[in-house]
Amino acid sequence: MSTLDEVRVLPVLAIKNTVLYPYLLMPLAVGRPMSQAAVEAAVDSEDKALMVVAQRDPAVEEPALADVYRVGTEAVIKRLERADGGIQLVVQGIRRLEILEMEQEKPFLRARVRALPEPSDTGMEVEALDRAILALADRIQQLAQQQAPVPVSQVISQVADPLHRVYMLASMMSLDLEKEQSLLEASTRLEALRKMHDYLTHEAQVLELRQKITNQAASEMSREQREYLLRRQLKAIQEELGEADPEQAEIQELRERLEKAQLPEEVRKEVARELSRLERLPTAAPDYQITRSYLEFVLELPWNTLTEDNRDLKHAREVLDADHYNLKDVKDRIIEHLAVLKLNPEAKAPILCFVGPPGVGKTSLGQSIARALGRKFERMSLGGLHDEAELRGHRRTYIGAMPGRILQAIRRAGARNPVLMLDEVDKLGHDFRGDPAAALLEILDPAQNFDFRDNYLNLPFDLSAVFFITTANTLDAIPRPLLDRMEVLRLAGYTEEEKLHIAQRYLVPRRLKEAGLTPEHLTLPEETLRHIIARFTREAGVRQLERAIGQVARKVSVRFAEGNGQPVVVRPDDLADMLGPPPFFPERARRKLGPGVATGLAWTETGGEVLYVEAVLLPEGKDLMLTGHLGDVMKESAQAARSYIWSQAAELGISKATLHGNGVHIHVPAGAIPKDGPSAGVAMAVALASLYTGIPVRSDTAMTGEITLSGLVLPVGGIKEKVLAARRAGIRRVILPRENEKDLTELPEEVRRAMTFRLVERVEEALTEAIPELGQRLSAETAVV
Amino acid sequence: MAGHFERLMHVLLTPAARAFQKTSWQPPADIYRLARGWLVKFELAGVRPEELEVRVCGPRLVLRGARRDIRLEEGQQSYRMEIAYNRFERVIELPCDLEGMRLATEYRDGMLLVRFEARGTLDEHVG
Repeated sequence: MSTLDEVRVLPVLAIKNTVLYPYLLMPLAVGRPMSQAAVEAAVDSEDKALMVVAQRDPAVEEPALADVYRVGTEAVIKRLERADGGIQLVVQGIRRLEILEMEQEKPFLRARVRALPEPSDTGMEVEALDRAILALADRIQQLAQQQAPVPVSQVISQVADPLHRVYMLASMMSLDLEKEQSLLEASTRLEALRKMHDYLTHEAQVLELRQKITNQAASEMSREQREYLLRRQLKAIQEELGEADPEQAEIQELRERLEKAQLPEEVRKEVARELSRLERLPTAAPDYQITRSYLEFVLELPWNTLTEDNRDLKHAREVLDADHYNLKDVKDRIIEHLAVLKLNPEAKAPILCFVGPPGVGKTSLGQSIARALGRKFERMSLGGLHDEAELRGHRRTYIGAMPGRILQAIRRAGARNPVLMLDEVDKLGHDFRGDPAAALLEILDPAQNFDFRDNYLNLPFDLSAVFFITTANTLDAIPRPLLDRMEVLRLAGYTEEEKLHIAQRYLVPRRLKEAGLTPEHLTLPEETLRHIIARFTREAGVRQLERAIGQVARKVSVRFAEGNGQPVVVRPDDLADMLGPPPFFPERARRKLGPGVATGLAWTETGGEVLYVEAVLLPEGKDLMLTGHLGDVMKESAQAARSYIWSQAAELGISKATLHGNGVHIHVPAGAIPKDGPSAGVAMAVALASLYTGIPVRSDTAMTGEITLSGLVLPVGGIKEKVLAARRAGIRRVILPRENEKDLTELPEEVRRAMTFRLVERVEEALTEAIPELGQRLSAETAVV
Repeated sequence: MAGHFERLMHVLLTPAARAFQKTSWQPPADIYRLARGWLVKFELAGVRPEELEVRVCGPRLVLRGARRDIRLEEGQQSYRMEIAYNRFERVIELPCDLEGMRLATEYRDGMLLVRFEARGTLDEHVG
């Protein structure tokens, strides 16, 4: 019996690509002469023993010591058979051996070898790994889809020793040679089991991945094949029906348009790329329609189309005058711009903002400008717009994405330099969906808008040639940065005189034409028009007036159509029949005012109005009561007025008993209309002074102005509209803050001549002007001081 | 994979005990019941008696040894080999305690005969 330490000399059989483990049988085919010689030597010996060792590199035909691993297995030849010049062997592994040194390398390897001890360590980890390895082995068997009658683990577990199980599993698995060898070389069970566990885990992962790939490839293949088949069928059906391939025709058409269109280089590249993408897309793909609409939009945009400007100044002035009465400032500004364009065609178009009450012709003025310049005209309303994407478009990734309204308008215009009117810029909304005003900043900034990027288009578009005009009813609601970019032109309300001119010159001819009449059929004398303006309309603009004239014209055309047509001259008395009873009565100033009532002037978006401030004492009351739908600013203004009057009580000759014994109620009719702003301050102070002193206010005097607690009168806005409202009401005397003197120049000459203006700097002056008796008291007081 | 599969099937279809042996071979054995004991017959042709070791341990009979080949002719070349050589070990377990029995061995015509007779208490070495 050989012991462990015994050194023996054995022939060495080098094998390729595999390792022989102890206790296991292995069939071998021996072909190499060198190996055959080693086998012969072993068979010749009485024990039939040899050492089997793995060769490091399978390509080496005559391995030397360096070409084989140091650790191998002692084997006994159990069977031998010769066939076709080779030797078939069955060898049985016995135990592990280590090569000490090579005794001979020719004609076959012979080495001095020593047996290695068999590992026999135990422990929890060995047991745990052992179980894990069994589970892994089953998993791998499943993944490899081996339809074995019993699970591997069941077979393996018949072998008691964990290490022997590892040897057995290793011989079953197709592990790398290096891994197999490392298992053989492991000097403890723990080491061998750990390694085996790693290898099996890796193997299982590889197999899982492979299975996944196989499944995926199979399903992809079948879907593609199905699609291909259906497409072929469709094609066959179309050919049978004699239909040409519609998608190809579409793409061909787009391609022709691309060739004809004058596109910037960047755009051309992008379009060509999208087009080739479209060709590759199946028609049914959702992307197909999206891409097609996009391409059509891009090709329809006027990238390089410009209309020729008409730079004839005389012609422009004629057009503007023909369309609009007066509005001198605006027309001058437009003529200036034309002159600049004539001298410098590269000049940037201005961005104008028309501000004024409704119906004064802001929108139609835009149309006239376009006509005067010979440019296309497009308008869009921004009123209530609260989504930035409306202006700038949605990215194409969204379903139903559309270009922004700006680019849509440009596409409609068909030229890159239209007059683009953005109506109601003061009525932009903004909420969590974004702030369209911010998008407008970019669009309206000449420094940025040559490179405007619509989200949908996703290409830069040059907006710098566009003549932008915005309109608004009030400047207060326009964001500051936006206002900065625009040149503001005010279109104030029209006076009665102006309305009359506008009616005679524009409205009557237009309405007659629309009703199918000529000036011979219908005559509207000046007094009739004045009557309509005064009794049937109340507005800053001329919309109601135009409607009323239109109504008269229609009534007359009915008579002609019925056949009893006689040329008609409409008298003021006839109007009630045609338009119904007049809805407005002339706003006559109240003939006589009681103490505590003052005449104020208000500015609204639709023009100016006269409003009365009424105050009464509430005996035994304490507080200041304010009614008439007043805003916060107006309420505070009333409190300031009361505080000021109280502080001046002594000078005004008001007794303390009156002040302390009574509360005050201030009401501003009409009660249903909301009112706000500080400009009624003077009227409130006057009303309170009148109330406390019991002296009535002059009924022919109206007033406006903000007051401070120290008695200053500050300037207010809307002077023109307010004065016109006072005049309509028959008031001839107006108290104004001195700083508003400059605004009087806006008034037509005839108004200025007919009215008296009192310019004041302090509340005392206003009181003196409004309540002359009080003025005497005040001057007496001053004299005493 | 094909080789892997073959190996797997080989293992699966071979009883583990046979695929997995601790020694290179095991001699086949016949066991007879006698009136007063047992007779175990091993086929051990070509094994030199001095290479044999018989041991009794409780109910088990352990036979160990080695068959060593002999050269019959100079220049002979093995053409086919079916006989197993080298060490063997065989353990026979019988349904009674063997240590209390008398043991006798006899080597006849390549067969080793091991007899157990009641009353015997000796362990004997053969050869």
